[in-house]
Formats: sequence, structure tokens, C-alpha cells
Amino acid sequence: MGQVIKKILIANRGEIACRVMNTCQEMGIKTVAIYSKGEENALHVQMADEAYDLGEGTLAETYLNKVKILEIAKMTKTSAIHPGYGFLSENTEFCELIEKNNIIFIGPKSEHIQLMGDKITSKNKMMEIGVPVIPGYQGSDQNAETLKKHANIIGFPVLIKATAGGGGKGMRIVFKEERFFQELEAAKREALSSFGNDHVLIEKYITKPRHIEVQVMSDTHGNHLHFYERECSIQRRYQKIVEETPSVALSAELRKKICETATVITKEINYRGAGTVEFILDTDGKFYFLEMNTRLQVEHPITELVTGADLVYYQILVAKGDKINLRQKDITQRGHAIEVRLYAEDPSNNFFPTTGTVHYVGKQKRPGVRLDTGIKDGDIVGVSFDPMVAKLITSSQTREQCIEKMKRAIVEYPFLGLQTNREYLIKVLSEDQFISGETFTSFVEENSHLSESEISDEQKAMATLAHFLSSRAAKGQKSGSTSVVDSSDIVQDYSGFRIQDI
Amino acid sequence: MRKEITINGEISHYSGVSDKNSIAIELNGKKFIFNNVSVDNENIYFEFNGENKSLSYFTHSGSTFCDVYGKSFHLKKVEKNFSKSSVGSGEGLVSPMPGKIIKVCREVGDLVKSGDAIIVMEAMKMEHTLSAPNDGVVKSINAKEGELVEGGLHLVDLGEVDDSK
Repeated sequence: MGQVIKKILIANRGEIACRVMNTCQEMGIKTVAIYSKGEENALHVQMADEAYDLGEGTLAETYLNKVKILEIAKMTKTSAIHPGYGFLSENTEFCELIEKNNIIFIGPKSEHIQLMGDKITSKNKMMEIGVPVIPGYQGSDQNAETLKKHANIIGFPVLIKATAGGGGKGMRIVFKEERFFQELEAAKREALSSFGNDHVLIEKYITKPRHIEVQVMSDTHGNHLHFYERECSIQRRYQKIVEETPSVALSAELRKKICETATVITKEINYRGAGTVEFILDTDGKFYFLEMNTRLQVEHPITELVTGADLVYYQILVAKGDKINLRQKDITQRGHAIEVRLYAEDPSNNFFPTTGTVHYVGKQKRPGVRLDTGIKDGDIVGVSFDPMVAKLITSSQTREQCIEKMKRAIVEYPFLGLQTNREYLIKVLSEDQFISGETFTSFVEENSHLSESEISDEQKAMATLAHFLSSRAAKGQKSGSTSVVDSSDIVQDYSGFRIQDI
Repeated sequence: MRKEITINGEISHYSGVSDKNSIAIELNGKKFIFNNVSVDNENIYFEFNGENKSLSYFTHSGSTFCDVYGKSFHLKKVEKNFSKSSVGSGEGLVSPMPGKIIKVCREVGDLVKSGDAIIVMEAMKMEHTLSAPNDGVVKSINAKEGELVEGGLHLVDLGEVDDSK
């Protein structure tokens, strides 16, 4: 019989903390939030039943402070900790520390985190159990000549990748043999300065790859389920910005094969909880294991919208030791879902992060539109945390409808006051290549013109109209006269409201 | 009456006239007519060039923030006496975006040539070098290595080289 979970501490912030709390509230479980200086009035703090201050300081002193978080968990008599994504979600030490103190870690066992957290051990394991991996060399002989010999065996183009890497650092694509040593040196230098370790691996570079990942969920009773795929090929600087499910690239047969491969992995390693197996899909229909993320992913909502499952609910259920009462054939994909990530950034300035006060998030509510955010009106977005301010998720019967719905939703959540990538996202969704499903991981680079921002005189004039009306309203308030155009009593007919291309 | 405003930092001139629910805006010498204008909380609805359109806006301490189909706008009235002094006569460097100061390459009093690196910043995963826009002498540096700075902050003052010495 399962354990009882009465209270969960969410060791995270922002939208994911709010997302987890929503399910906790649904399940009647009390929640504990943690926060750092300046976040006293943050949405995740307001939503929680209790909230505790981690104080001021670096991330290591706040959200990554294992001891402090454990202390708060003990003090509040928390039964379980949900780590969200990022921060301590894939930290074996934290997982062990929590469980040693008889608090449930809502996630896999530390051995799974360890195995999948290292690119080499995970790849070796995959080869051992017969899961295809990208041809490559992961040996300990780091001699430049040896590495080049292997690059020649694999065949150019090759990718040089830091073993300890992530986020594109210490990563180099080499198209020609002549450039190999030069790029190797650069990759090693970057790896050393970023990770303190210049160990690299070499692998085949796939020229038209798609990023396909499979959502998995396993309980401790031998059930290893999948919730189908997500395609996340649209990435900028190795970070996903648009995700969708189902993928247009998978036939029913290929879908079955790739999803079953994912559950072969979870069965073989006797996995526990939610996870994502990432694959690279080549144009010839071959797919290769990339990595497994042993946590809830940012883009999990699209899976929830097409399968109807609440993944956080199942995470909690599994953590209690309960059985998932679902058979694989009960899980189906219905319709289409898309997620876009709203970042505080300027696409026309190399996607550099921006800061500002969000005066108005937007409040339109429509069926099939979900906004996951930790930001509310009046919040300040600074540089202390990840610049992702929200996730917007739409679902519809067809992919075409879903794209159109998303373009409208982006306009309806303007995040006024903050420069975001919203316009860029609309352009991506309007691009022929995207509409026709020609989505490869090179999309952002190939369509670099989309990040240029030109302002037409018509757009400026419309903005000036807003300024004219607001300055006149301000004057009207002072003198006591009423504005000619203020007609807040007019009932708006939304059915006539269309999105226009500008 | 023509008013001076900045639209996303760019100085523009406009005037507006309303007649019932129509508004005519003249912007930088061009005229635009908006019909059936109505305001509902944060939204403005209107007809423009024969099409129904809408946009959202918010006013905050003299600034108007608005969104035109995904494009963000910040409009602000130009304060007459303020605008002159803020432009100033001195040359210098301004942080182009929020980030971390990685390196301060020069000291106060150093002579620099146009293009010389003075400050190296990091934002996200990229480095950005701030170089001298012209020859001059470093008069002040308002940044320390390791410091986090906002965008638009005046980091370095450059003065003219005094040839008389």
C-alpha cells in the first residue's frame, strides 16, 4: 500500500511551481513554497499554503541550497518534495539527502539520475540494451590524432561535444577534415572554462535532424507507460521555443516503434516516475537515442492536452508507491497541441535578454488555450533568473487550426511593458516551412530573417493612436470632462474580431 | 498642436484630432484615419484601411505601452528641458542589454583609440565587447568586474584628449 502525502514542498519558482501547486490543490495536498529576496509577492508564493524565505544571495545560496531546503521541509513536516525542472531536479545528492531524511523525492531514484545524467554512461547503457545511438567515439584517449582518426571513421560532418556539456557550450560542428584540429581546440577551451573538464566526444552530425522526444511514466509495480511523442525541432541556441504533438514526421508505424523503444529503456533500467527520452530523427526514418531527462519537462503541457492526462498527478501517485491504473491502449492522442515559450528577450538583438515591468499580462480566456506563467500584472522581470516568462499552449482538432489559435493567443497575452519574443513566435508560426511541417533543428538559423524587426508607418500610427487616447484620457480625468471615445459600455462582439496580418 | 514623442526610442512628431468616433493622426507628416474607435479597458478597437483591428495598451507614469499584433511599443512624451541635458555633450558607452560585467579593460585616465575594447559584458551565453566609439580619454568608469547591470546604463564617460599638455 502506498504512503500518504499530505504536504508537498515545491523546490522551484515561477510557472513550474505554480503548475505543480495547481495539481496539489486539485488533490487536496497542502503546499510549501520557497522564495528568494525580492520574490515576497511572487505568484508561486501567493498560491502556496506556506512560504519560506531562502534569503538573499546567489542561486547556490538559495534555490540550489540543499541543506536549507531540507531544513524548511523538516520544519514544515513536508511529506514530499517536488523539484520541478532545472535547479535540483536532476541532482543525485539532493535526491539521496531527501530520502535519507524520510522525505519522498517526487522523481526517479538517484541511480537513474546518475545513469542518465552522464552522456557516456547513458550511451553505453543504450548500446548494451540494443537502442540505436548516433555513431561516435566516446573513448578516454583524448589525443588529438586519435580523435581525428575516429572522426574519419565516423565520416564528416562530425560533432565535437564536451562530455560534461549542455546548452551548446563546448560544442562544434566540423564539416571538413582540414578544420578538425582548430575546432577541437576551441571546443576543449570552451569546455574547460565552462565545466572545468575538457573531455570531449565525437559523433556523426546529422544534417536534417528533427528532435523527437517521448514522454514516459513508470510506477513501482512494473508498469512502464508512454504518453506519445513531442516534436521540439524549433530551437534557438539549443533551447526549444516551439513544441508540438503529434509530430508530422511520424507515420503510425514509426510512432509505435519510437514510443516502444522509449518504454524498452524504462523497463530495462526499471525506471520510476516521469521522464523524457529524446531522440534525433533522420530524414530516412532512422532515429537515435540522444539523452533521457529524468524529470518533468518544460513542454509537458502539450502532452497533457492531447492525452488528457495530468502528468503531475501521476508523478505524485507514483511517488506514493501507488499503481497507475492505466493500460497503454487506454492512452490515446486526440487532436493537436502546440506550445510556445515566451522569453523576455530581443530576437533582433541576438535574442539577448531584456528586463522590465509587466504592466498587463492579458486576461482573455478561451477554450483550448492554456497560459502557464509565474508572472502577474506589475511584476518586474530582472536578470536573476531564466528569461522564460510564460508558456502558451493551444490545442485544437487539427494542426492548422492549432497554429491559427496560437497566433491569436499570442496577441491576446501582450505582456505589456516587457520586450518579448512574441512577434518572432508569430512569424515562426506564419512561415511556410513551419506550416508545411518542414521543421528541422536548423529552422531558426535558416530563417534568420524572421528575427529582424521592422516597424511600418502604419504600425507606428496605431501605437500613436493608443498614446493619443491615453494622454487624452489622462487630461480628461484632470479637467473632469469625459472623453468622446470612451465607450467602455459598448458590448464588444468577439466573433467579428479577426487577426490581421500586418 | 504637434507633439514630440519617442516611439521605441525614436523621436517622432504627431498631432491628433477626433470627430465623433473617428480619429485622425498625423505622424511625421503622414495622415492616418481610424474609424469606429472604441475603448474597452486595455483594448482599443477600430477600423483602419477598411479592416477591423484591435490592440492592447497600458499607461504608466506618462508612458504608453502597447502591442500591435505581437510588436511591442513604448511611447513617451519628450520632456523639453530634460531632453537637452540627457543627451549631453560627452561621449561614452551604454550597456546595450542587461548582463554581467566580465572584464573592465581600461582605467580612468587611459587614452583610447576608436575601436579599443573598454568593457566586456556577458548576457546569456554570449560575450559582448563595448568599444570606444572615438579616440579619447577615459573620464569615468561606472562598472566593476562581476557586477550585474541593467540595459541602458551609462557605463563609461569618454572625454576629448587635451593636446595642450
